[in-house]
Amino acid sequence: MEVDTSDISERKDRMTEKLQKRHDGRIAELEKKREEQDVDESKKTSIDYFYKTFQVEKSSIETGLEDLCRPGAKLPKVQLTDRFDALIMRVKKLQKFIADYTAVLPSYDINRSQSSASELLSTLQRKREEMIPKKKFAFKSRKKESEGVPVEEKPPKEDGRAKSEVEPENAFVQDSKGFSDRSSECLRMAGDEIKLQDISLSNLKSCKVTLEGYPSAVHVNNLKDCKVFCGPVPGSIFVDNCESCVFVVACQQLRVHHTKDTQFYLQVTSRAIIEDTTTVLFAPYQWDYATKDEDYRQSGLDPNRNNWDDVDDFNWLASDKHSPNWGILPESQRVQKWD
Amino acid sequence: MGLLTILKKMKQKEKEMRLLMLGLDNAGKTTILKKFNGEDINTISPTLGFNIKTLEHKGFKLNVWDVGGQKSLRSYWRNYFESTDGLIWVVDSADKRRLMDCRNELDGLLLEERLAGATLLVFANKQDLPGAFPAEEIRKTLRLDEIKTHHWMIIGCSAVTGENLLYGIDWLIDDIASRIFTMD
Repeated sequence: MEVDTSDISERKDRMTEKLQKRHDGRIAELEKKREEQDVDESKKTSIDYFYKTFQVEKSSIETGLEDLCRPGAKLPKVQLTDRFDALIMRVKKLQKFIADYTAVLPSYDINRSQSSASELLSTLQRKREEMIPKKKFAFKSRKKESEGVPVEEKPPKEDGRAKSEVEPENAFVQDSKGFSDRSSECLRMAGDEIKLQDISLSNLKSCKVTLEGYPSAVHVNNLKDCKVFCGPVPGSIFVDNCESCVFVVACQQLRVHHTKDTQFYLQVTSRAIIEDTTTVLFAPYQWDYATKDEDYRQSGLDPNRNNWDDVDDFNWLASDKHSPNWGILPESQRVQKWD
Repeated sequence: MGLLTILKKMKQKEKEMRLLMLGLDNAGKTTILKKFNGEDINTISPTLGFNIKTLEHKGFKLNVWDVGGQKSLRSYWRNYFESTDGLIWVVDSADKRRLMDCRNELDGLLLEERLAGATLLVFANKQDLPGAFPAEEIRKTLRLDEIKTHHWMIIGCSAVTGENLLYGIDWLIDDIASRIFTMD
């Protein structure tokens, strides 16, 4: 009797299992079918959605542009600029919208919508230039300077032709401005002489260097027992191989390498870094000269931003412990007035 | 829905490129990246470590790796070589003193097996500075014409004004695309 029962229940179990399996299989198949349909559907609806949104937005931007260009509509310049900027921003958003849909769109349509968007953008920019003449702003002087320099605009042809005979090392000596190989002297440069130039100071001993103006960058190499003063540098100051010096400088970036026993009275708008450098001390920038305010204005360096005490040491990556290579110059030891 | 996501992912992966941006410190790598992405470039600090940006451009998804160029970081560069489609080498055209350094570092990279398939774009940056060497001069100094192992191009640019950045990147993308996305 007992044997029978177990036999029956065993058969029953087997049967239920089989039935369950078939049932599962059927459901899975149904699911798969539905999913396939879903994919088709959602692909289709999202493409439709794309075309509709794209067309609507595009023609609305075009209407906006027509409005701005209507001869009757004389808007004040500020308003005009705002309106143009808003339109340009919308085209850029549209381009991003296209990018989002690249995965589902056929490539022909991607190309077409991309090129029509970029066409729209260039039309907008051209119109903007026509209707709002270029603003003149504070950096004018820099622009003028660089216009005089032959700037490689076109990419060079890949045919391997090279004409100029100037060896780079020679050229370096010829055109870099600054001082080199001096000792025990007072050296000074100012104003237009250094304005947005790349200034190089190298191999100086026991000198005092003052740069009253705003060079675009300063490269310092191999100085000993020197004092260097410099106005606001909109680019970077590069210090290499210096010993027992004092730098009183303001800049956007300061990079110090292979230097020791040196003090920096510093203004830096981003961050200073040191590498292979020991025993350097930092204090805030503190130097006055006649054209300082004007130089700040011209150079574009923000006088109110100073991270002089936030130094990255590339040889000290532990964040929980302060680098032993640099420190802050105690206030009592700071020089208040330079002679 | 699941399948669509997978399809989408696969399609996107096809259109992805990995660009590695290297160069000496102070070359302007981060500035190029940020300018290209339309971000503020006035507060950039020297890169301690690296930056990654994912950009959409010309229908491609660009993963740009910008690795710090300080001497102490250069030994880590090789950690980023794997599956690089394009190498962007950035040169400070105004820093004449270190052009030889620059050449040596680049020569070393070009011998790397893991970069063997990558296209090389050299940006002769800082053309806005009055003392900058033109791209032609940089091309000679770095002896680019001797490179036979990689597709390459050099172009003068300025990360500050944005001049030629787009042109260079476009060339790079086109070159890579013609190599690896031939089915399009």
